[in-house]
Amino acid sequence: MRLPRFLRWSAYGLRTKGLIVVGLPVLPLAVFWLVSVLAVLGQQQPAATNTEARSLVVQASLARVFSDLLDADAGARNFLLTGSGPGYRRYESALGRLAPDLSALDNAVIDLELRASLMTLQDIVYDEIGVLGRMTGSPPAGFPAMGEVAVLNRSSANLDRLRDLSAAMQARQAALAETQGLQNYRRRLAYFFAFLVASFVCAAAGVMAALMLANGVSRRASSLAKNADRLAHGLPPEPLPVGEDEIGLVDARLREAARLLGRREVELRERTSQLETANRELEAFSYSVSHDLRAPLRAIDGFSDAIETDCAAELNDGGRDSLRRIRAAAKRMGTLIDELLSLGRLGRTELMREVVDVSAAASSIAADLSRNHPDRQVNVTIASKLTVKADPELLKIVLHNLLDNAWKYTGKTPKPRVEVGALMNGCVEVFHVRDNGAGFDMAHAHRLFGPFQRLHPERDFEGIGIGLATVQRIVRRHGGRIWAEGAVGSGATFYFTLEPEKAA
Amino acid sequence: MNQTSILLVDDSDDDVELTLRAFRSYGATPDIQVARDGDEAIETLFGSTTMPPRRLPALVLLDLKLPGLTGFEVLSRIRAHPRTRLVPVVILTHSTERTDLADAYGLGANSYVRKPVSFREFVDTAGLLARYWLVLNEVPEPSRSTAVKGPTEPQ
Repeated sequence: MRLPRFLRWSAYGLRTKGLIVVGLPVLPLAVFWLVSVLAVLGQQQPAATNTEARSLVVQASLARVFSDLLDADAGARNFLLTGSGPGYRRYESALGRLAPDLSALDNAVIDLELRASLMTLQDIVYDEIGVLGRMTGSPPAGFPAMGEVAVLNRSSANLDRLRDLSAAMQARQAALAETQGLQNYRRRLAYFFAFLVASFVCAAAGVMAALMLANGVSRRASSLAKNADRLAHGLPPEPLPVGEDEIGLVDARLREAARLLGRREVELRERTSQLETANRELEAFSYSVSHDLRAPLRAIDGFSDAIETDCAAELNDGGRDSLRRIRAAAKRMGTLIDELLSLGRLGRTELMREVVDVSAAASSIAADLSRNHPDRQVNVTIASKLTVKADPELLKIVLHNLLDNAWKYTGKTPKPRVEVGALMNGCVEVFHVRDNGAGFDMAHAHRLFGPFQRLHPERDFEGIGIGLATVQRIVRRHGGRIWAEGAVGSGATFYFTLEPEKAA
Repeated sequence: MNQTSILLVDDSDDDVELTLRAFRSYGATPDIQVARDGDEAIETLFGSTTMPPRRLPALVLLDLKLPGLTGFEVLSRIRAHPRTRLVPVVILTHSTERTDLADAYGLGANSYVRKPVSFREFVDTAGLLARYWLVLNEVPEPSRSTAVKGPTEPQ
């Protein structure tokens, strides 16, 4: 059985759930205040609706009507005895007050039983007015004639009846007021208890909602975290506990991200396999280069030699020179192929970093160079205690190429100097190899490290232009950088690092 | 001299000619038999249905890249057979691949020499090979080695 959506707790978002949690305990308080405020505003009704106040008004009006009649009776009797004016005036003014007092009484009485008594009271009052009229000699029309004593007795009897009736009415009104007060009290009590119970129920519901919210959020959030972990390990995500809150949104995004990531991975795998294919092709290519390109070169060189040996008698100087050139070209091409292959191989060999004594390596290379060029006197300065964590074999190739270059390009300098050193730049050590040789034009600095690029004609400085390309490749494989500064005729400085420079 | 014969396994006419010339230029005159591919090399060493095996050479100069059976296959067959497993084999190739070098030694090559481009260097190489393998180096008698029965023999 499926509940309607608005009854399902899981169908609400976190915000709504939060509002429910906070709102439930506060709700009865709000209702209580609202009802109270409305009740206070409702007090605008006339005060007479209040039974106790009404009792007072009824009491006062009854007393006033009775005292008016007593006054009128007294004035009429006085007039009857003395025939004087003051007695009559008293009677007249009392009658004058009677009319508004009666109507006030009429307004104040609401209870049906009291209204019936009021009608009797009014009858007695009208009879008494007639009796008093007879007493003063101006009876209302149609009032029966009677003797003086009968008039006086009737007036007294009327007043007595009025007193009794008035007392009865007052008692009745007081009883009414008392009942009303009790009712009010009971109503207030019921109201208070209702508020108490509602508060308790709502607070309990609020606590329950809070527990459900916390529990739900906690379970869903930990499921989400688990899913994130699963995705990180390449596993498919599991469904979250049921719910439609924002955590579900995060989960959906996570799944989407995982899907995209999966697609990327497939693409990456494809690209990797393409790369591997390309690499294999390149290897096959370099294999055939080493095998198939060198073979004809050997033949060229070897059979040139054969001609030179076998046909020595037929060859003149020009022929011999041509053969020499052929053989030099073949040899040169052989070197090119070998260098190219070793450059290619650099990218494939594994990098083995260990602490290398750069000073010692540079000194040993410089010593080799001195030995191989006994005709040269080069002033070499190598800073002491230079060390770096790098592949020792590859670093030796770097140092050899740079020092060999320095040696070569100082060949036409009167007092050749070569210097190896290092400076800290931030936390990265920058090594340099400096010479005072032929230098180069900074405008062509970008071409220095390209394979087979030369900035000097080969007849001035021999070489095939692969050394710096090799150096750059090794430096880059270490995550480092190489650059050069120089000027034509005033030497060159090559700087390199062997570790990645962190962005400042 | 029985021991001074060489089996040269190489498919390139040029290379064969150059090798022969190099030995001649150096002044060595070994008896060099030439096999143009792997199958021919095997036939020469082990004989065939139509031809009995020849006398074992004192040295095999083996190229790796051959039509048909490769140099590696020829090498492993030489090392697998009790008759030939002690014959010195020198790999003479163009290949600079480190894997080739490692594989050759792994299969039991005695030496690995790259063919230099320069003929002058090659003459030196040939001379060194002839001098070392044919003069200085001692090799067990082939007839003896076939007679050896022991744990080193392939199962």
